Amino acid sequence: MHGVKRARVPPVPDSVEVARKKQEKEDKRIDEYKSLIDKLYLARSSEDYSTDALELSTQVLSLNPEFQTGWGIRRTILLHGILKDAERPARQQQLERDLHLTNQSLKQNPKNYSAWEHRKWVLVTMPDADWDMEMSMVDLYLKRDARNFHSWNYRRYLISIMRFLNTSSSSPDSAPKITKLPSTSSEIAFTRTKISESFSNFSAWHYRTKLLPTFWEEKGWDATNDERRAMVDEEFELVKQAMWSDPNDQSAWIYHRWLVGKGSVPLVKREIAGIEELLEEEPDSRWCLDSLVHYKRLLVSLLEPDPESLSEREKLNLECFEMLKKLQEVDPMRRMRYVDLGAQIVPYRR
Amino acid sequence: MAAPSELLVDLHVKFVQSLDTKRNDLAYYFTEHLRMNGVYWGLTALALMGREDALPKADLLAWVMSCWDDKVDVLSMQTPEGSFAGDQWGERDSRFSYLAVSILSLLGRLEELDKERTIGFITRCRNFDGGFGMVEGAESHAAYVWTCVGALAMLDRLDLVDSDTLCWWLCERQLPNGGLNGRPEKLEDVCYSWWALASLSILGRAHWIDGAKLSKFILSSQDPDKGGIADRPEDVADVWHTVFGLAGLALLSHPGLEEVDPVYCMPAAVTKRLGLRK
Repeated sequence: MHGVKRARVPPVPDSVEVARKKQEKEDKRIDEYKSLIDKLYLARSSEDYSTDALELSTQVLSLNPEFQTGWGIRRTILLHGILKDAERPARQQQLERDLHLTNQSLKQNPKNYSAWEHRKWVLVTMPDADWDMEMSMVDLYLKRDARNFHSWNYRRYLISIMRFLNTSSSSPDSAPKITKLPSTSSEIAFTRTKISESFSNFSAWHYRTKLLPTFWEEKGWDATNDERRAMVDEEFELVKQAMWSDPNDQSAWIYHRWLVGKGSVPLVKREIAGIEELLEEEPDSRWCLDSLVHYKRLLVSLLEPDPESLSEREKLNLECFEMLKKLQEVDPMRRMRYVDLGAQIVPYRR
Repeated sequence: MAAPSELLVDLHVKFVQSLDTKRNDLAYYFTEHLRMNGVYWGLTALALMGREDALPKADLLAWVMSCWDDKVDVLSMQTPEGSFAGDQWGERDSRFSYLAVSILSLLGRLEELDKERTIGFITRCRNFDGGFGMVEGAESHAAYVWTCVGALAMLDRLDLVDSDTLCWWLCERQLPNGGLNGRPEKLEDVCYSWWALASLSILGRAHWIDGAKLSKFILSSQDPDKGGIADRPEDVADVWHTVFGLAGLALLSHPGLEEVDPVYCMPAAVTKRLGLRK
């Protein structure tokens, strides 16, 4: 059980009577649940798709939303029952009740794979899905837990479906209910909001590493484009703020690696200078040290084609060697990585 | 009471044996759909302790076979995009890619797999940090790193992994208390002792974390009264964290445990016997 503390032994164990009453209650709940399950399995095997069967599945899934098989049985009942025979408004109404059911489940456990999957199924099965409302729903879940990857994945899924529906609907009748179709740009803004709320939100930083290249591609901006360069500069500003506000938070440092990428000599030199400044304030910061090793080694490889840079490269390698030794002290858990990296540097030769 | 510092093998054996006896708990009935998972987790835990004799073999085999559906074919679960669906309802993510490849591998039928399509999906789950997410676009997460790296290992395509970057990301999962987390700025959890460490092990960099500290963390997450291992010290134990805690300790060569195969999460002796040991 994730995150559930072991019960402390009570100073006085339950009396026989109390223990008996507790077990009686539990036995009753077990009997009720088993009875529901038996009836549900019977409905499945006898191909009962009635409203009674549906109601059974509602009761089971309300009690036990983790019961994956139950969600599948429910979908079968719906597909062969009300969704096959009923008129559009009735189908819509039923599936809205299903959305509500998943909401109840997700409130209990926002990481319930089956509940998210059922919701996805409901949306594509519904005659009139309210996509705007779904986006608000996922906004709300991300407010509650900005690191829930189910919510982030669901958000991306929603957007891809909305985009598909928006481009492929032909008649006003079938036009999907979308007043605010999220764009790459609006999603970039959304991640910016999340990052402002917490620099530690790696889920938002990660999403940015997908959004920005997509945005630039949509615009047709290659790496030399001025507007793109301006955006990249803003990113460096943003990540610098994050690094300085908490040098121990890895999110910014990991994102920074992406931002620098394969780099260029002037860019890498500039970033090295920036981090060295921070290192002066925080001389034992392992993130500063590790990043400097990474970027100085990157610089060495970028300078390699220039034979004039030999002494500069040797100096950089020596600096990395020293920093790796320091890292073994300040970050002993990962000592062997620093040892391995050090072994790759052969001073005076590379 | 001090946290346990030794491996409580006998207690864990008893814990696994007791799993199917808790008929007085509602939780037992709520988790009926996880019985097969429980059998795998429990049996693997016992096997790693060299104690698979602790469960009735014939009964267990009969029960497993009673769940067999001869109408479903793993290969038919592959989607056009190369992922695998978990069931008829289409839930798809990299967990099922791992499972499909593993199933075919264990059955000696990997040559029937459309490798290009399978690998195509897995590589689309790859991120800038070297890690892999649940689906394309998803954030790197140690559990999904393991499913993708494991699948690529079975397919002899570890060349598709940016090992230096990924192993850096993976070793950063170790927190000051010695435990491992699954992603940046999240809490430690014993099950990441498997996901993250096995991934490092497959890539030959298990030594990039502090094994002694991790061992201590796993051992202190044992329940010294009822047996089993929990997600972290003092929490309630369950069979999931028990198997992954033991597997983590096995990777760390803890005395008293069998060698574990980091790709298949079963005793190395088993994968050796099947000719699958990489």
